[in-house]
Amino acid sequence: MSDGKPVTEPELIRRSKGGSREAFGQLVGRYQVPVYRVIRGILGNPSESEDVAQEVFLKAYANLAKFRGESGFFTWLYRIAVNEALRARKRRTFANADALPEVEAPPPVPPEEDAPTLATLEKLLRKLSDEFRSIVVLRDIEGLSYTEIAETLEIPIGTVESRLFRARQELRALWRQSKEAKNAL
Amino acid sequence: MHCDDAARALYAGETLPDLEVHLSACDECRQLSEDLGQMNRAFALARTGWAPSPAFKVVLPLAPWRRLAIAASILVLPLAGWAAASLWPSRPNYDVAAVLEPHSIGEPSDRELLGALFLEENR
Repeated sequence: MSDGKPVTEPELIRRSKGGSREAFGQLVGRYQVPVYRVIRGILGNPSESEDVAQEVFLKAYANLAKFRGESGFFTWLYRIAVNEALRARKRRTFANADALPEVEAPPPVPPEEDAPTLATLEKLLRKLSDEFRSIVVLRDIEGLSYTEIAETLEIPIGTVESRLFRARQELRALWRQSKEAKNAL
Repeated sequence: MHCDDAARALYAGETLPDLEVHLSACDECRQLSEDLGQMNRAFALARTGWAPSPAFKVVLPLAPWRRLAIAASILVLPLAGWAAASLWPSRPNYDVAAVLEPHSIGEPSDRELLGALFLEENR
């Protein structure tokens, strides 16, 4: 860094393991947006996603010594993000079990054009199972390869392919239903 | 091409040579292709639209040695204060002025008082 050259990721990891908060801060800077996106895709709630992202980086910082470099740093980080997001979702479900029933949102105003919206996507992603939602977010939003998804979720590549296929099928069915409901309005 | 093969290719994002021909002839598969295209545009929106707020900042915990240093300083400061207070020369419990200043006229000196006391005891 002193010679002005950008520091490589392995070097940042090595320095972070040596206790450099500055080096880890640079890793955070590189990955905070994609990590947030993964969590947001799974949780759907912006502010809760920020809290979980914070937890993810704290956990990564605390467990950095356990990262041996057998997989990519970002797949290791994504694994923590997926696990923490799913854990947060379970906590939320558990906490809501005794809470008042969720208030139904008012029916959406039909859009002027039939454009896909983020709100629709978020709504439909929430209807998928945890397994399906995680894999769609990692592949279709984050653009991870099948191998990287297999590393992140710790499942065989064949499972990645079949699960992704079924997840997309289900999402498309929901998408169609949503479009037809809009057209019926 | 069969619809199952077309659907498999569409879901996997593959481009097969006779897929376009099949799509031009099959309404169901064309519908699927359009839906997947819209979904992909929504994913692209998520890629650019989902970002943490500008105020978001990851706060890392202090390094263990720093935490120890802070804890130690919290403990050491009162101890140091106490030590300093106890070492500080305390105020003399005798009247410095009486020692340093000459006796005022008319008052007996210590020596005179001791002498008087001695005489009184030996009387």
